[in-house]
Amino acid sequence: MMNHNASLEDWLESLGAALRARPRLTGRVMDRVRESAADGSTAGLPTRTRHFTIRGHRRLVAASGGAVAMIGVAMLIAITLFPSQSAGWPEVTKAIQSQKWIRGTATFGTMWLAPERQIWAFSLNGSHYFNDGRTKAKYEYRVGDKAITKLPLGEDNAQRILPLDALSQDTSAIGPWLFGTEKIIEQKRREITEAGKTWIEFQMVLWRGEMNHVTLRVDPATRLPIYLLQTSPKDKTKSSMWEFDYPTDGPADIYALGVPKEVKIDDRMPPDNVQRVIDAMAASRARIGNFRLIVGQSASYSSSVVYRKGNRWRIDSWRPQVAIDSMPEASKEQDWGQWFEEQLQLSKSMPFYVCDGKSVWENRSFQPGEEPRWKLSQHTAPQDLMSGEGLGSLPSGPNVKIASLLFPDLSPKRGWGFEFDLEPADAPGFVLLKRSAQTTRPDGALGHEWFFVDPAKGYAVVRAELFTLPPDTPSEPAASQVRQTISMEDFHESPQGFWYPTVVHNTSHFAANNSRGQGAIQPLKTMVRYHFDFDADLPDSLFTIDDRQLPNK
Amino acid sequence: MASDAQLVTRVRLGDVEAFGQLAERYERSLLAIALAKLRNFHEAEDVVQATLLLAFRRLETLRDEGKFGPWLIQIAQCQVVEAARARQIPVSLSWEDSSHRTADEGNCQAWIENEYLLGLVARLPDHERVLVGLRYFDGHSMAEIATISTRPIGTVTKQLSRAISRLRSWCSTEIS
Repeated sequence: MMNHNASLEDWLESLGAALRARPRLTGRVMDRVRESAADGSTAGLPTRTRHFTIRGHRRLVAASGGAVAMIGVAMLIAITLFPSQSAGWPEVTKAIQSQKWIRGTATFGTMWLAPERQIWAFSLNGSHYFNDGRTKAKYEYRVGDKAITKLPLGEDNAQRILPLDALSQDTSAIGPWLFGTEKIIEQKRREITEAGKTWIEFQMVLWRGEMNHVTLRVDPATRLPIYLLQTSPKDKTKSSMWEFDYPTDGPADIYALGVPKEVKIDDRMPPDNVQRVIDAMAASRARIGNFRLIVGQSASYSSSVVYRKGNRWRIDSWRPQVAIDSMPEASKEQDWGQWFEEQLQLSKSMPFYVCDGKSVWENRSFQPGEEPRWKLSQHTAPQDLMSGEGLGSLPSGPNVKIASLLFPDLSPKRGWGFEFDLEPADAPGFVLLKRSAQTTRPDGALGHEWFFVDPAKGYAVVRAELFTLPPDTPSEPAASQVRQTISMEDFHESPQGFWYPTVVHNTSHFAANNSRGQGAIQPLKTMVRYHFDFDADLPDSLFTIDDRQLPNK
Repeated sequence: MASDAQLVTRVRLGDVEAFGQLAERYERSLLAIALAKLRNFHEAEDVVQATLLLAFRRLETLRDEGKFGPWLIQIAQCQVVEAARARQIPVSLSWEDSSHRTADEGNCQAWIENEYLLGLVARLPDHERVLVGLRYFDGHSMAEIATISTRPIGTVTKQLSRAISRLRSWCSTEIS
């Protein structure tokens, strides 16, 4: 069992190096600790969010709007994103759309939305943000910035601006793309009478933030929102109110929000040909359609079956009777699918997630065959399965997000460096997109991500290299002792034109340095197999949960 | 570098960020404890996060500030048991029994060996496990460990040496 050639100390050193190669968790823990310290809460345990976290790779410091932006986002969501099937909401949507400008005012900022012009802008505590849906660009000027950063809108932000279009077509439910990163985990509509006047209120719970309970009050006469109230479920004294009015004019650009005229714009927009690649990847991802997908991973006894029908989806977990390592070779793809189907017949499965189109439910019962116990997920939202964020995994659901693994949203983002090579010398025929950001390591190391994209396969990522290097080091995967290579093989095209591999190999390299400076690279290899069925029968019952299994029943 | 006791005191006085230093100090040791039983990085990392948050929330119950490490390990062990129970893994699972392996980090021999070693470290007494974790998993020097634990460096060296001997002896016995 033991490596007889190494001393016990070397062995421990090597194991320690592998552990230290994992992403640090303290940053995430401290977010929760600070929250806990701020509200004095003693309830609840941390949930894990894996977006933008790369396995075997330091967590990248991706700058985002953070809490400040979230306030504006929450308000925008409330204005625009309620499902049209809620009684009265189509009228509210129509009323909102008829306005040139909607202005929200709070003590700490102002927000603007122009449905037709597709502008969403806000100023909060001295920072200014201007999102332009028509030019697909966003401008940011935060406190302390020397220049305005101009970036592509990206999928999340674009979707925040455009949902009114979707609602005007009376789409039947919340699209997976509607909420960006600010997720709604619960929503209700009610009518309330105060002093003889009746109001409509839309109430929702956002997935994070202290003041994550949001109420939007609408005047039934004009169908227009009056105010939006954010409250903390844990501390009744904390709240913020946005009041709405509907002026005829609004800001034409970010300078109109208050940025000094002399501040220059740092244009980080990708060239048109690169933007076309990014757009093509998003379009390819959207072509996946409905499916049943079996995901089997080597060295694992639990596998997944994923079902998707429109904006509803479900993930079942099951354990085959024999090790997945014994599954047929990659060249016998058909055999492997057959093998897996046979295993499924012999195994007990249990539902893990069910998304009914509006919310995601998690099964809290962990015993196959036991009655499910459903709970609203606190960290997974309806759009998560199909979004371009992350690299293949959902919290607790490894490798099921193949759409994001193949077609990630690689739009340039604040805090990230980007490079594009449309004709890489060492990978002819492919397109290479590189991005990098500073990691949380004390030495300021940079985390690099290289994506080799194949235009002949709908711009699918066919290989990804994730690696960490000290700053000012020429970026080259082989130069890094901590790196991960993901390669996709055996591509097929679905009837809808969605390209997908049946095998994904994942190789992680860890530096096994010991205290005496000796070292060796240790690779860890896993293989994941995917078996799609695009013609599978997908009864609605798959995406509904039994009321009797709800927590309060 | 501040000792554990100093950092605990700072946290109790309201310096929340001091807890970050404590968390960083023990993060990998906790990961090793969780991995020894759960054999799955994702679940083990969940346990580490749960352990640290719980430790922060219950810090007032720690009687001896100097015993933060062993106290943290006890919390981690409880969290591991809870996670294993939730997943229906026998908590007494030993390294020889691979029928419940769910590790998703590869099946190479190297990692199987690592799991074996983690299992051995898990059998050490708490105070020795803290030292092994700090030294090898969290990568602290002997001088740093002495500061962290407010013990003379000679004592730390002796105790660590005893722990290594114990591990080596278990290894030889089991391999033979």
